[in-house]
Amino acid sequence: MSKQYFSTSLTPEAHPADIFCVETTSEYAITSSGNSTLKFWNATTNNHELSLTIKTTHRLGIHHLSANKELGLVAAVGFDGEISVWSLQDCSCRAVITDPKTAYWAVRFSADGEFMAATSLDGGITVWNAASDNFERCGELETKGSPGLAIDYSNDGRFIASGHENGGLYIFSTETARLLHSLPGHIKAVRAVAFSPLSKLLAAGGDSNVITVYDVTSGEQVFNLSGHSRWIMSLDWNFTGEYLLSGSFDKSLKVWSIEQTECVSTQTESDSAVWAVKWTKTAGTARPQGFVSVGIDRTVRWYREATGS
Amino acid sequence: REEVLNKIENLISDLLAGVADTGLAKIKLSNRRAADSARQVQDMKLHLTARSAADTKQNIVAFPGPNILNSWRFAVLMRTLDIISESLSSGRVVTKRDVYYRETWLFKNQAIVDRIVDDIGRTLNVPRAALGIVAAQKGLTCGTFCMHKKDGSLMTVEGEIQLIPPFDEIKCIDVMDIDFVLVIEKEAIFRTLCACKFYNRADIGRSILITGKGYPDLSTRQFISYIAARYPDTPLFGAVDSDPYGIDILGTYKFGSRAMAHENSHLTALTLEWVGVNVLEYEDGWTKLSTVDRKKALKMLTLPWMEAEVAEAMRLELQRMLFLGQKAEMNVVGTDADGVIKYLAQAIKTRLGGR
Repeated sequence: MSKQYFSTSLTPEAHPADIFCVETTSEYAITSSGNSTLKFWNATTNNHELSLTIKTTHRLGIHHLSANKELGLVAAVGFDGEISVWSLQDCSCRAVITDPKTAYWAVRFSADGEFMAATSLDGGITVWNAASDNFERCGELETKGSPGLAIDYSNDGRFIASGHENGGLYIFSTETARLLHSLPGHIKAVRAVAFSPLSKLLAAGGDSNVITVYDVTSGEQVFNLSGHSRWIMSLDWNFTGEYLLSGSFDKSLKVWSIEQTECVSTQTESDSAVWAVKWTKTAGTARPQGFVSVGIDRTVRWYREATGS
Repeated sequence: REEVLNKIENLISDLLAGVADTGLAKIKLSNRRAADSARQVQDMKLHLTARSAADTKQNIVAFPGPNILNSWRFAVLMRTLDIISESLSSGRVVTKRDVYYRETWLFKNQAIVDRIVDDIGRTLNVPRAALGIVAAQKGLTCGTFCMHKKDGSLMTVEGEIQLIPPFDEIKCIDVMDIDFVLVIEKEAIFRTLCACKFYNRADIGRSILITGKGYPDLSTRQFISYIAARYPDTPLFGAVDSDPYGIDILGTYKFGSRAMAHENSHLTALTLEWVGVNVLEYEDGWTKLSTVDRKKALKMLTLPWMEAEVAEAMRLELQRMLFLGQKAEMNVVGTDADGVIKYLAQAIKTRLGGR
């Protein structure tokens, strides 16, 4: 059984450089690129016009984003290794976090907005109290020292997963701050990790071109998803947990059915590498769920499922 | 030459006057490295311009100094001025290497000589060649063309690799009907291309191949800048590794270097077209970007000239390298041993075809 998606709208030259990351909230798709501006695109209208821009001080570009609706915050990580946190209400800068000894890489807010965690190039993971006024550090997790390229919080707040340049893939317990699983399956870089919505499964992908999926409790590898011919750059689960979306260096994005453990749709509209993909978060509204992709072609592409009618 | 000798004499007489006054021999030296040169964009041209000598950071070198290091610096400066005056008076030209070997115990290493010579040039506000000092030759070239030397001789390059002569010895270069010029970062690739007669092919025509063996010396840059200016309709291509150093080398050929900002206008080749390699083009053969590479890439991205539009492709390449954490060297492009030859031929063919 395959699904059909089509591109409903696209904004070419959305940024003057590669678009490295996209994050979605119920109101916006937020994109970041090789220049210092964050752009907020209206997720609720048909033509997805530009609603808002924030000029950050990340002069060298921004490659990772995470947004949290509860907190009304978006965090951005620049190539300069710093994290800046912005208020979605008034576009003011809430915090700038730097570490003189290393550079931060991937960042994620916990679902409830209590915490923010980030990986760094020295392999460590830092956790901050996001709800407090001054974003105080409240935890550190150590790994073997290979740059952490990807991070995710499980929706139930109990786990943090990180993927590393040397293929390291870890699940930590947030309650005990201890390592629960060191997952096998990758000897090359892991560039994306994503927990399923019910926190039962973890998907990971990277330079092996294959997406590996694990049971979070047992750490067992339950199945693989093959089909991409180049590196997996981005992974995202849809809100029901039935589908996984992947974006790849092979210029395509794929939608995978978890039940059938196979690819049900491949989109090849882009003529260059896809850097990031995300499902839209307008579910529960009248809009059918779709997704957004960004990459080297500087275009923000919106997709929707082709329904019967 | 007279002018420089006069300047040096003035410097020394000021110094002696200072001794009579204060008992202290003092010279103000313009410190090249402290000068903050800004690259300015003018009508799509990018020139590295230096602030005037008055703005550059001035270092006082004095004797007797507060410590041994200062006294040594004074000795280095005086001896170098001495050697320069000597060469200028006799009409001989020496290389920086020659200067170093005159007093190795004093100079301790080549880098010291290189720096003091440039500092003197900047202090006196004359190009280094006017000091009678030339760099040892480093760049190589191959192809079929000839150079008329100032001493009246004719240097022909006929399919054999030759050292690029010091630019001051060259009267003019006759490229004799070539289709393009290709500048290559690394010597090994250059030699590979020469060995297979890349400079004379049916599909892309005749060319001149040049390598600066990494960061190019002044003679090589002048050589290329001359050809670019004299033959503006001949395509000029540059091929470097897709790593921060490769990009920096490309930038040096194209826009100039911060160190030689005060001479840059005849050292740049703004028409140099970047033909590869790009980190996106590889099937495999990537290597991990090291911490040092990362630092270099980040440093380059902060340089003011990187923000200009003409540097966009280089900026994107550096960002992609950082994002992927990978770099790629030219010798592993393509799937077989001839990969780099085929890659370059194709890249050049595409660009020539579009003209």
